Amino acid sequence: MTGGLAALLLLVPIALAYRRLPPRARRVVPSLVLLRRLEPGAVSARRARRIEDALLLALLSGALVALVVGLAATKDDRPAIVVLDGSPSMGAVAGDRTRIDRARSALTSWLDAHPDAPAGLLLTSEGALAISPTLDHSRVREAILTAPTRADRDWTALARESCRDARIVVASDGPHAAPASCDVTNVDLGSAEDNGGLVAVAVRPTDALGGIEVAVETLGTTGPLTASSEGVAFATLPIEKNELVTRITAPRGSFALSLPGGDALAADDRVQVARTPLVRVLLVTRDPGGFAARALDAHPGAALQIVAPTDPLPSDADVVFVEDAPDASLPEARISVWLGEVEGSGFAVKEVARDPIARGAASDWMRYVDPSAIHIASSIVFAPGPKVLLDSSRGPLAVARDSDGRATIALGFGPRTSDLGLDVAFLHFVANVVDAARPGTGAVEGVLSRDDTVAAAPPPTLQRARPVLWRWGAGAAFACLLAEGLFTHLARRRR
Amino acid sequence: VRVDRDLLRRLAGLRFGARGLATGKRTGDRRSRAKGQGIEFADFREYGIGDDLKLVDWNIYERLGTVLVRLFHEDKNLRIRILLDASRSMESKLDQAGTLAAGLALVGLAHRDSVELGSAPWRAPVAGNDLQALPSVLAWLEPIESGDPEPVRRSLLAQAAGMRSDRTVLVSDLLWDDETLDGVLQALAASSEAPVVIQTLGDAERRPDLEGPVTWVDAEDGAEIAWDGTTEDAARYEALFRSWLDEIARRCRARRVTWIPVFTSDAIDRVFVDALARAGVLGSASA
Repeated sequence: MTGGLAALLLLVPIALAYRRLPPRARRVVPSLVLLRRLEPGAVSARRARRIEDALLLALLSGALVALVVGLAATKDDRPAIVVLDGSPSMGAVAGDRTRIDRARSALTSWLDAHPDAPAGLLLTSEGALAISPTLDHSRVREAILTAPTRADRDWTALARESCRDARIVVASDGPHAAPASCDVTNVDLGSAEDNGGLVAVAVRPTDALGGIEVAVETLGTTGPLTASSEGVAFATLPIEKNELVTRITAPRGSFALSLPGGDALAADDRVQVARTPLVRVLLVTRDPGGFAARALDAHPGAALQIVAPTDPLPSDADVVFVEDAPDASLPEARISVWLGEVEGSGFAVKEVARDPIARGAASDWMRYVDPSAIHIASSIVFAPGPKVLLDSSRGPLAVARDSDGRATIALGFGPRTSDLGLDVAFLHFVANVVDAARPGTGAVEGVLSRDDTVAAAPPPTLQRARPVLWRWGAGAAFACLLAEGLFTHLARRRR
Repeated sequence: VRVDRDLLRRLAGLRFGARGLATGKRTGDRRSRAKGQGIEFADFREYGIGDDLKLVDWNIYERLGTVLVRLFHEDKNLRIRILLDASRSMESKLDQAGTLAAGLALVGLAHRDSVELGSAPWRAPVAGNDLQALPSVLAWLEPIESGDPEPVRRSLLAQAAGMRSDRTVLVSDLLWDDETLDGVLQALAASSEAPVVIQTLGDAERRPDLEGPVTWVDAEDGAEIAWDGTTEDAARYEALFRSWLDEIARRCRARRVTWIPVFTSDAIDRVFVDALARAGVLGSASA
């Protein structure tokens, strides 16, 4: 603060200099008639010059104040929670020291630089703060120096709790999902090469059948990347030039992407890919080995239960497909689909048509379905009224209605009475229905939805540092000085 | 105004040039349009009751039997108006301008011309018809001081556009805007048979100190200009000054106004003898 005030004192000579400069003598002349011709447009020159001088003084003062404020603001005495990553990978030697030694050194240096900030300590292997925020930095320093190397726990939740009243200072080598709501400072543990491993991971579904595209960026490692589910590897992916973009088919449930154990930082280079929950699908059919049953079973996002029409039905399901009308009433499902069997669906039937030619109607239910390519031997034609999904010259062949947030869909034909089963259209139709029934959020087991993306946080050295105030101040100062120079240049040219 | 009285004595041999006819009321030595008593025959007309019988041309009566009287040109004096610009820009040139005005008045009065001098609105014009009026002319001139430019210019404009005169001489630096300059020149041309502008200029206009940085202050209205030029701009200024003079000369020519530039560095007697004589404003009394 003293330095800042001293710097502010610089304003005094600058202001005085501007008040004194330029030393203009006043020279009275009989008339300005001729001199105005010599200097066109100079009638208001003096007034403009006064404004320029004042503006330049203001800019310079602004620059200086911005710089001083910025520099003064570098002192931040807010309470801090110092997070020391004690995971096994921190024991790896990077450069001439182990990473944990670097972390200890970095954190103690940070404490030295912030003597007035109350500091607490959180070890990633502990479930609670090792030391609550205190001004007695010697305790914190000692705990940092003696912290053991142990397996990580999920420290981010604890950090999130703590950061309401304090900022978080993290010394960690691995990718960690810093709590977004916290003011997190990552201390530098060395060069980017030392901090190798997974830098970024993105996954997205490529189809409705479990196909996934994986994009990985790595640093300082050659892989390979292992994809595993429930501890069982199902894909091994080579990494070239620190990049990998490939497509895999993943089983149901969450899966993990990890670098091999031989890598120095492998303990931290593991990403768990969460997936949304499975959709509970109930199929009422006499033919449990039929195409409808097999198509629904193949969908990775669906948990299929097949019941016969005479069997008791479960009380709950997300989607119900009815191939044969059940004796009991259907459970309350979000979506009910009647496939060629419409008795009990509530839709009025007009007639039965032979070889109707279907044509499409715009609907999300029929996304990717080309009705003109389907040969339908026989189909029920519905009476006009409900929303039409598939139309024909004879009338609607597929209809839908919404009631109280529940959808009921009726197809006048089923896989049995058409070549729908032979066409990929039915798989698309099933995928559309399952997608529509999928719960939004909340679970960790299931399928990767079209919108899901999981990305690993980059290592600390690659994370963008949060812009601190003094940088803004320096930027503002630079901008002011630039503007001052520009003004001077323009004024000189104008003269 | 400090009038160089010694100079006035040396101007006795000059008179205003014989340009045009005199329109003065008094008898003088200038030919006029008026016909009456004179020595130069002008015309005949029929005798009328009351005509002087001495004017009857008896020879014509004898030959033609018609009684005609001889008419002669009547000589009148000149009506001269001298206007002195006493605005603040004239301050450094006022002595020279006043001496010029006094000299011209003397030349006129010496030849019994009607001379009227006008200046700022706070100085009522003074007039005279012979040398007896010279002291009052000088007494009128010498207390004149420079003052606010606008009233002075309005007064000059009004006087220039006043009663018609044979000679109107304006002594000024013409450091006016174009509109004022045109207005005054137009008024001069309209009210005088032979208008004359004597432009007095000093070193401040001819060779100003261009070394900057400096704030130039207009002596007349207090306007200011910040100047960062150097003496290297002198050539540019000189070209500008010349073109300005050329422009004034062109404007005067266009209105048949005789324009005579005079610098404060010029010897005042040479101005009378050379510049004014060369321009035909003054001539030798013996000619």
